[in-house]
Amino acid sequence: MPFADANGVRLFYQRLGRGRPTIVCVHGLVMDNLSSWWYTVANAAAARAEVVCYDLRGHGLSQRPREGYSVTDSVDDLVGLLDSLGIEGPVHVVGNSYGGVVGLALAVAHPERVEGLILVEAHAAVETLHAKARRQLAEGLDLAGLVLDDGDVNRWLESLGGRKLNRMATSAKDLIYHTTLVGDLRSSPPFTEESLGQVECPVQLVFGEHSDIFDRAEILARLLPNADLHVIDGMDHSVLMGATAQVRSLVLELASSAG
Amino acid sequence: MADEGGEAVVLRTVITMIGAVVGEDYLEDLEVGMGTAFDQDLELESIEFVALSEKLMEHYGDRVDFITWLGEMELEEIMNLRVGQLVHHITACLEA
Repeated sequence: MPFADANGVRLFYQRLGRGRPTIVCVHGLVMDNLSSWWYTVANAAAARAEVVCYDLRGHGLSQRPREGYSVTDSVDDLVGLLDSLGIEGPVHVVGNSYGGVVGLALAVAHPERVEGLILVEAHAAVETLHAKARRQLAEGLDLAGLVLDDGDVNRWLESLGGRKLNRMATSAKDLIYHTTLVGDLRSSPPFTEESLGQVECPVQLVFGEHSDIFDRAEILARLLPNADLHVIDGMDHSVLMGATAQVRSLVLELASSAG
Repeated sequence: MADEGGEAVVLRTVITMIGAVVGEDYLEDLEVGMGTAFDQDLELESIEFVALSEKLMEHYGDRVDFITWLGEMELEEIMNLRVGQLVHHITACLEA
């Protein structure tokens, strides 16, 4: 089983296909792991390019240390993974939700490592939105934790969900209550307008028409110099699972571009 | 040497790999056969199915192409996969 030692953490990854460009897929928070990309896009794209998917620390099969869940930590983990895999050249990062935040933060901190970005429903906090955005992201997680901790809901999950849902719920509770994830995210600084203005690589922004974070789409499209906004009709935040064909099409186009 | 590509042998290999991913204890009360669904019957988490495919890739190497096979499937098809479909794909690749 492929694990990489990245930034001092053991990360599970899948390296599929070969050649150029290299596409790195980053998943969302808590109830997510690399399988959301693996099931939808990664294998198809691997027929044309090299694709790397990995589990963020604390998620999926990766190690779950008690701390180190800030956006900066996530970027350091990703850089550590690329170094560990010997991928030195710039990559395309395809990120969903929080994964989009990681991709964007990588492009800001290490522009030489990023050739392009596809940000699906990126939960990015920007300084002008910061108070509201930070509250939404962190409180969303707190709320999930509170709901999962409620006895009635737990019993309902156990009776209805069986093994799979129980394991997901248990894992999510552990991540929320027994790691520093929520606090680390709450204290992660937002992107500044200046830092976004310096992201020169092409960025595809993909947001659902009815997304609860559509304000991020508008501000990212305005501040990123080389961004295209794709709005998926009738879709909410669950674009990757609800509009898989459109996301896959964008990634396949990228995979065929042979950098 | 037993016929590695025979359906019964491949099925046994797949069941062994499932056990390695989810734990032998979990399989004790379940009868896994060609009609068993990974999601509905085994309740495999999606990351466990990724781990299973990884183990099968390690076992069969380049003789079995999982990436193209999975890459041509829609999300729903992968979610509804049955053990028999996986076994048939492996045997077809080994026979080719």
